[in-house]
Amino acid sequence: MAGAGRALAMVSMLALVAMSVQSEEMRGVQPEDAHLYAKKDMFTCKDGSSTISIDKVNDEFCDCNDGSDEPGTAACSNGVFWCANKGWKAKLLFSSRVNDGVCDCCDGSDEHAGIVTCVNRCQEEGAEQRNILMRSIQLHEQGVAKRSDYVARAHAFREAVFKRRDELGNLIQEVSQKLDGFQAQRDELNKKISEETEERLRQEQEAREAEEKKRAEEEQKRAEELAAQQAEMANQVPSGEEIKSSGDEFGSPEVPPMAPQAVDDLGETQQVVQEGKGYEDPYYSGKHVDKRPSPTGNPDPNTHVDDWYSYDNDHTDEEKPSEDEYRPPEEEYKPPEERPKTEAESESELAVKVLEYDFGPDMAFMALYDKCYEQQVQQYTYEICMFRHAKQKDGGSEQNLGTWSHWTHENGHNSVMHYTNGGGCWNGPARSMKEQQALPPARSADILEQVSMICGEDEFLVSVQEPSRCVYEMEFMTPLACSAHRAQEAREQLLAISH
Amino acid sequence: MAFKEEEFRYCKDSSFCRRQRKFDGQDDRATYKLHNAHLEDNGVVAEMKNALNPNQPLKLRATIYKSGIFRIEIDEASSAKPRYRVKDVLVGDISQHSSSEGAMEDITGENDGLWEESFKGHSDSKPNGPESIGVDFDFMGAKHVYGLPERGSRLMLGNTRGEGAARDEPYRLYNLDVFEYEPLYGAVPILYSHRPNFSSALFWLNAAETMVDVEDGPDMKRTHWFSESGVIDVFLLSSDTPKGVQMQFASLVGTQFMPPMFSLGYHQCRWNYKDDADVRMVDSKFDEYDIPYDVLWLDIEHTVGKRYLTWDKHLFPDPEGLQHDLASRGRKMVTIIDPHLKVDMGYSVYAEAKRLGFFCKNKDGGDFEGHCWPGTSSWLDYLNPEVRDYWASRFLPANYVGSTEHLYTWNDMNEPSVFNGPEITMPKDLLHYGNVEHRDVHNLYGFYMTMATVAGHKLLRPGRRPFILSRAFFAGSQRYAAVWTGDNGARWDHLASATPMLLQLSLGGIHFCGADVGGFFGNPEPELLVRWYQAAAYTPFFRGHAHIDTQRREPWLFGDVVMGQIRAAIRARYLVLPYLYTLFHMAHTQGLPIMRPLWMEFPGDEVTIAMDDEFMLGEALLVKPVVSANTRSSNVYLPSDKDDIWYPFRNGQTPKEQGVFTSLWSRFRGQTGSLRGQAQAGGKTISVDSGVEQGIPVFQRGGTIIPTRERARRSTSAMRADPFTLHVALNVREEASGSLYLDDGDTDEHTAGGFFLFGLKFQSNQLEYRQTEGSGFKFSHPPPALERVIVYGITKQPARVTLKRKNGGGSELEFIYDKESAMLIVRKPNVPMNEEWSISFAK
Repeated sequence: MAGAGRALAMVSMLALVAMSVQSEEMRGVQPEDAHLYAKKDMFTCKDGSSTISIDKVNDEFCDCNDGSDEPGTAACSNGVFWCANKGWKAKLLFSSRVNDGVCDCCDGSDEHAGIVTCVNRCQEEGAEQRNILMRSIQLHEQGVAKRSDYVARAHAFREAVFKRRDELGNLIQEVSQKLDGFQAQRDELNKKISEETEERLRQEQEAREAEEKKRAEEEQKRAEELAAQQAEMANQVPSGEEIKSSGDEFGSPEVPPMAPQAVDDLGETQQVVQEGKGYEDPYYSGKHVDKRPSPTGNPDPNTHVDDWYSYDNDHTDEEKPSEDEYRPPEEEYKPPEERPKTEAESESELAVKVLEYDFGPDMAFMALYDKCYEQQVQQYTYEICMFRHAKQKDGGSEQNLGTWSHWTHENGHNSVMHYTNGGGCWNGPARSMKEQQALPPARSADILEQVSMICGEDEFLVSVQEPSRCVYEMEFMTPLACSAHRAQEAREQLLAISH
Repeated sequence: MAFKEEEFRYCKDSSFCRRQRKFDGQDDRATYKLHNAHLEDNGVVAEMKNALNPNQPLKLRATIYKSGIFRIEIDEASSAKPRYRVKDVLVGDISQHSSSEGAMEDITGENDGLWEESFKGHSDSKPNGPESIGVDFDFMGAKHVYGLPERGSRLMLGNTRGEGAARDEPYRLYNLDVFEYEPLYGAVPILYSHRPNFSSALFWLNAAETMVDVEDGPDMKRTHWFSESGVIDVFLLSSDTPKGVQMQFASLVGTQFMPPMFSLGYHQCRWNYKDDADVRMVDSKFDEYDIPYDVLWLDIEHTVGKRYLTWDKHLFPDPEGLQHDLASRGRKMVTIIDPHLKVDMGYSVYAEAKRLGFFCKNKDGGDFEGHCWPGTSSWLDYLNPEVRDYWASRFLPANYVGSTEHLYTWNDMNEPSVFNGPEITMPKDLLHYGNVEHRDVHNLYGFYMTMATVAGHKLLRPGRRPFILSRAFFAGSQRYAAVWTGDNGARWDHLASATPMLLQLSLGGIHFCGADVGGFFGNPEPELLVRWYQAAAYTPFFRGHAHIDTQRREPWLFGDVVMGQIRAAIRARYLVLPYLYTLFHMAHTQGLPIMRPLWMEFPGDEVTIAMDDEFMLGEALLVKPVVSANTRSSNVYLPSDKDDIWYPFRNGQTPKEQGVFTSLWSRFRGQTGSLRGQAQAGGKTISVDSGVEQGIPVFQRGGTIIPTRERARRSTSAMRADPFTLHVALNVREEASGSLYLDDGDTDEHTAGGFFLFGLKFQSNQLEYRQTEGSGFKFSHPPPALERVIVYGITKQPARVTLKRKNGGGSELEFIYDKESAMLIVRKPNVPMNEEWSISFAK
C-alpha cells in the first residue's frame, strides 16, 4: 500500500567519509552480530522486516522496526549500542545513551558527535573492577566452603530437636502418669475425709445428750489435724527437681553443645565492622546479638515455648556450659498446678513444625534458626531473629514487624525472607492534621518486612531501610548467600576483562 | 467535593460578608451620584456622593489605562488613615496615586462584628474598624463566567445567588492551606466572560479577603465583588477574542517567566527521598529502565529538624557530591524551602532575622510566633524589601551550605500556613512592613516570598534562569514561580478535576502549572497512575509526588507492563518539548496561556463554552484526559471554527511506534487504529479507542505545524543536540503554519535577543522555514538538524521533494507517500535548524 518513494543517489562527502570508517568496524555492533553488517551493498534488519542499502546503516535515521540499522547512533529509540571498553569489559547500552552528552562507556565510544569529549577510563575502571571481582570470588568461595559447617550444625540441631521431641513425649507421659497417681491418692484421701466426717456426725448424733460441748471441742481439734494432714499430702506432688531427675532417666533434656565451628561469634563480627567493607559508619552501628533467655529465667511470655529451640552454638567445647550461658531446664518448669499439660504438647508440635520450614535444599539455614541480630538506625534498634520475628525497638517500646512467613527464591537459592502479620501500619507523625480525608484503601495497610540475603564472611545485619511507611527492607549478610555459581560468574567476568 | 469543612469560615461567620451580601442594591439612597466630574491626565475624575452618607464623599477616577483597558478607582475623598493599595503586582504601572482616607463602608448603626470579631477561638481586633468595599458588575450577554482561581470547581462558575443557584456561598479569594478545594492556596481576582466575537474580563486589584457573588440577570451574568479592606481598583478588559483579553491581562500583571528547559521535563518527587543512597537508587533506576526525568526533589525531611536551607548530614553527608553526580547526567535537584523559620537561636537563618527584626509582628509589636512543621516558628516579612534582600542572600552557597548551581527551590506552605492560626493561617491583625495589617495583604504573602526567592536564585546563578515552585500565588506570580495545585488525592475524581483547575489557573495568568501525578494522598491503583501520567504529560508542569505515608510508586514498581505505559507517557512528554518550549516563549512574550480552554482557540464554536474536560495545549493539540477506570473508548468533541479538521496525534504509546521508515505505516498509526494521517472533520463528537495501553486521545488541528524531537533520551539536557521532526497537519486548503523557538535553555541571553524564532509555513506545496525574530545564539555543540518532515492530509503525491538551503545549495530528498492516508514522510533533510530553508513538494 505504500506509494513509491524515489530514492536518489544523494551521497554527500560526509556520508562517504562515514562509510569508509564504518567499513572497518561497524560502530556499536556486538561482535556476534558483526556478520549481519558484513555485506557490501545491502543490510537486512535483524528481525528480517526489511532490507535497506548498506549506506542507510548508522546514517542517523531509523529504518528498521527493531532499530538494528542504527547500532551506532541514537536514531532508533529501541536500539542498543555496544562498546568494546578494552581494558575493562564490553557493555550494551540503550541507544538513548549514544551522543547524549554523557560518557557512558569507559572508552567513550558512545559519544562521537562532538557534544562532549570523553576520556578513556577503562584501565582505571578495569583495575577497580578487577579488585571488586576478585574480592567477590573470594567471598563466594569462602562462603561456599563454610556451608558444610552450617549443614553439619543444622543436622545436629535437627537431631537435637528430634531428641527433644521424644523427650517431651516421654516427659508428658511421665508427668501425666505421676499426676494420675497423685490424683488417685488425693481422691482416696478426700474419700477418707468424707467417710470420717460422716462417721463423726453419726457419733455426734448418738452422744448428743451426754457431752455435747466437750465433744464439739474434740471434733474441732480433730478437724484441724485432718487439715494439716491433707496439706502435707498435697506437698508430696513432685517438684521441678524431681521431674528433672526423673527426666535424667530418659537422657539429658538440654540440647547438646555443638562442635567448635562457630563462624559468627561476636568477636569476628566486630572484626567485620573494623575491617571496613563500607559499614564503618558509626551512624549505623552494626551489632551482633546473641539472644538467650536471662539466667534468672522469666522468659518472654510470648516466646517461652519455642525458646527451647534456641540453639546455642557459642558452646565451642564439650565442657558443661557455665552458669550464665546455660539455662537449666528445671527453672522453666512450674508446679503442675500452674502449668497446663498442653504446653509440653504444643512445644512438641512446634518442634515438628519448625522441622518443616524451608531451610534450603541442604537445610543449611537451620543453623541460623532463632539467631538474632540488631542494627541501630537513628533512634531505632531493629532486631531480626531468623525464622522467628523482626522487631523495631524505640527506647522502651517495641513494634512487631512480622513473624516468619516464607522465602522468595532466585535461581534456586533462598534469596529473600518475608516476615508477615506484623499488624496494621500505625499512623505517621505531624501531618495527621491533613489526613482526615477519606481516601481509597492502601494497596496494603499492613507492615511489610523483607530481608535480602547477601554473601559475606559472617552473619551481619547490614542495613535496614524503610523506603515507604511501614515497608521495611533489610540486608543480611551470611556465608549461606554465597554461591559457587556467582563465584564462577565473577571468574568469567574477570577473564573477560583480562582478555 | 469534600473539604475540611470545620476549618473554614463561611460568609455567615464573617462580618463584612454578612453586611455586603445584605445590600441588595434596591435602596435608592445608597446610589452614588457623580459631582464635579472633570478631565484630568488621561481620564475622568469625579466626586461621588449618596443620600445615606452625604458627608462621606468618595473620589472616583476613571481612565483608559492601556489599549482596551478601562480602569476605575474609588477611594475615600479624605480619611485619617490611608487605605492600603496593592503594590508590585502591576507591571509598568503608570498611575500609582497617593491614597485618600477614611472608612468607606456604610455603617448602619448595628454592631455586627464591626470592630472585633472572632472565629473558632481566634479573635480579630480590627483596629481600623470596618473597611469593606463592594461593587456590582454585569457581564452583558454572558452565559458563563470563568476564572477566580484557585478552587476545585468546574471551569464555568455556577451561580451563588438567585433561583437554582449552584451554591450558597460566594466565591472566596483567601489563600488557605485548609486542605481540599475552596478556597485554595492562591488567588487571582479575575473573572472572564466569553461569547462569540466578544470577550471581556474584570480584574479586581485587591489582596484582602475578597468575595464574588454570581447570579443570572436578563441576558447577562451579574457579579457582586467585595473585599474586606483596601480600595476599589478595577480593570475592565475587552476584546473581540479571548486571546486579546489574555494579552491585555498580561500587560497589566506581567507574563510567564521563561523557564529553564530542564523544568519542562519530568520531575520526580516524594515526601521523602530519605537519604543519599535513596536518591542515587531512584536516579539510577530511571536510567536502568530508560525512563526520562530531569529533576529529583527533596521534601522537608532532608533538613536538620525542618530548618530550611540546611541538610541533615546523617542522611546527606555530601549534598554537593550528590548534586554534581546527578548533574553529570544532566539532572537537577530541588529542595523545599518554606517561609516558617524554627524559633531557635542556634539556627542562623532565624537568629540573624530575629536580630534584624525581620519577622511579621503581632498587633502589639512583638514577633509573631505560630506552629508549623518545625514546631514554634516565626515568619519573615517578605513585604519588606530589606527582608527580601536578606532572604536572597541566604541562597548563596556560603550561607546555604551544601547547595550548588544545580539546586533549585520549592516554596511550600506560603499562604502562609500556620497550624494554630485562624483557618490555618495568620491572624488578620498581624502587622507587616510599613505598619500594614495582614488583612490588607494576605493574598500577597506567597507572591512576595517567591519574588525574594527569585532574587536568591539570581544571586546564586547570575545571568541564568531561576526555577521555583510555589503553592501560594496572586495575580502576577507567574513572573516568579511555577504553581502546582497542592495536596490532591489518589482518586479518579481528583484526576478529573485537575483539568478545570489547571485551565482556571491558566486563565489567571498562572501558566506554568500542574497537579501532582498520582495524587499526593493515598495509593493510586496502577491504572489510575498510568492515566495520570498520560494526562499530565500534556500539562505545563509535570511532577510525580506522594505523601510520606503512601507506598512507593516509582514507575518500575508495578511490573513491566505498567512501567512500559508510564515510560511511554513520559516519553510522549519529551517528544513534544520543542513545541511546548515554543509555547512558553509565546506565554513569556505575549501572555498567551500554554493550556487553554477550547473556547480560547475556537471562540466561534458555542459548544465549547461549557466544556472543561478537554483542553488545548497551545493552538495545535487537543487533549482529552481519561478519568475513569476500565475505559476502552472516549467520546471526544473535535471543535471547529470553520471547516476545521483534526488528525490523531502520535503519542508514543505503543512499542510499534518506536521507529521505522520502510515499515512506517505501522509506526504512525494513531490511537484509533486507523492511519495517523486520516483526518476527522471538526464540529462533532467522535468515539476514540483509548485503552490504557493506547494512551489518551490527542489530536492535532489541521493547519498547524508541531516541532518534535523523536529520540528517546534520559533528560532534556541529553536531547540538546538531537534533530527535529516537523508534523505538518494540513487544513482543508492544504495549508499549515507553526513556529519553533530555540535558545540555550538556561541563561537570560534570550532577553537580549539571544534566540531564534522561526516561522513555519506550508502553502502552495512549499514548506518555508524563515527566521522571524531573534538575533540567534551560538550552540555549544553541532547545531541540531532536521531529521524528518511528516505531512498529513496531502492529497497528491509529489513528483519530487526538494530542499533549498539559504546558501543556494540544495538537494532532492527521499520520501514516501501513502495515498490512502494522504500522508507523506520526508527522510532526513539533514539541514541545520539554525538557518532558513524551504522544501518544495513539486506536483
